[in-house]
Amino acid sequence: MKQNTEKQQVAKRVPFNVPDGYFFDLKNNIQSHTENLSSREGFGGIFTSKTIVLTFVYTVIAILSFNYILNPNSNNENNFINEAYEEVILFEIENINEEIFLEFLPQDEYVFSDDIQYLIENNTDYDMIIE
Amino acid sequence: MNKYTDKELLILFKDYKKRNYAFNCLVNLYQERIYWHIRKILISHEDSNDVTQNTFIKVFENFTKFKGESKIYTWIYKIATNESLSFLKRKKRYFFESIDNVSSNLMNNIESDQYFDGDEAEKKFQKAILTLPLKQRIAFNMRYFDKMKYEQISNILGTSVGALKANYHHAKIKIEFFLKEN
Repeated sequence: MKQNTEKQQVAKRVPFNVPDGYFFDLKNNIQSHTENLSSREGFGGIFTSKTIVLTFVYTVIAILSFNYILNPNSNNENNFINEAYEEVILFEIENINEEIFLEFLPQDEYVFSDDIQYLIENNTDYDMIIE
Repeated sequence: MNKYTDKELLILFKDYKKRNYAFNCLVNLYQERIYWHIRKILISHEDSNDVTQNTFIKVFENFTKFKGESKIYTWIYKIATNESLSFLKRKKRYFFESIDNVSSNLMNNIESDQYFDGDEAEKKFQKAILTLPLKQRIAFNMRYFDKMKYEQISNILGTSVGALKANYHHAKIKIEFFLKEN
């Protein structure tokens, strides 16, 4: 009976071994990994706030892109207004001759008096009209 | 001997200052059993070493989520089994092999393993175990070598006790057949 039990124990032995001192090294390796993980957890707050900022930036970019895709015309209008504004500024900077500037102004349709109309039609000298 | 219960270890672990101490207790207590469980699945010492380390790192990362519904021992066994299965799946994918080829590679590992210290009969017995389908092999090892109860194996592998009993019976028949034929 005793022999049978011994035989069974031998049969149930796992026929593998490990290098000397392996389990001591294994414990140390596992501990060094997990201690690194622990110390990283200490910086968790920084990573969290960094993540929040990044998420915020990406969200803003996403919203702007989405808005551009949905309303391309409004952006075109804005661009047109900006361009016109820039042209006006340029005009002022370059200080273009006043006469040329006046040419660009919308012309009012003047209604001349009959006398003046007559003089214009007969190609009368402008100075005479003044007199 | 561990002087802490599962609950006490969990409480210690949740305290940030005592976390490393609690985890060291856990490693001391279970590392050998977990290593041998993995070694019987993967055969190679180097692979088993990597998977054992990964298992304990996973335990460390997820220990605060452990609710204590099962024993820590069962929970770690479950993680170790899943890690070993994932390792074999990755290996299978990496080498474009079927799981049968993985088994035959494991048999070759036994032949060339410098850390195999059994005799010819034990080598033959290990090869016979390797002919079993993977999950059946794991269940057989847990029952035969680790003397675990069917209920415990059922909790770890998520298989019913009835199915496990049937599996163990079929596994024994297959092993006997292999030993007679070879």
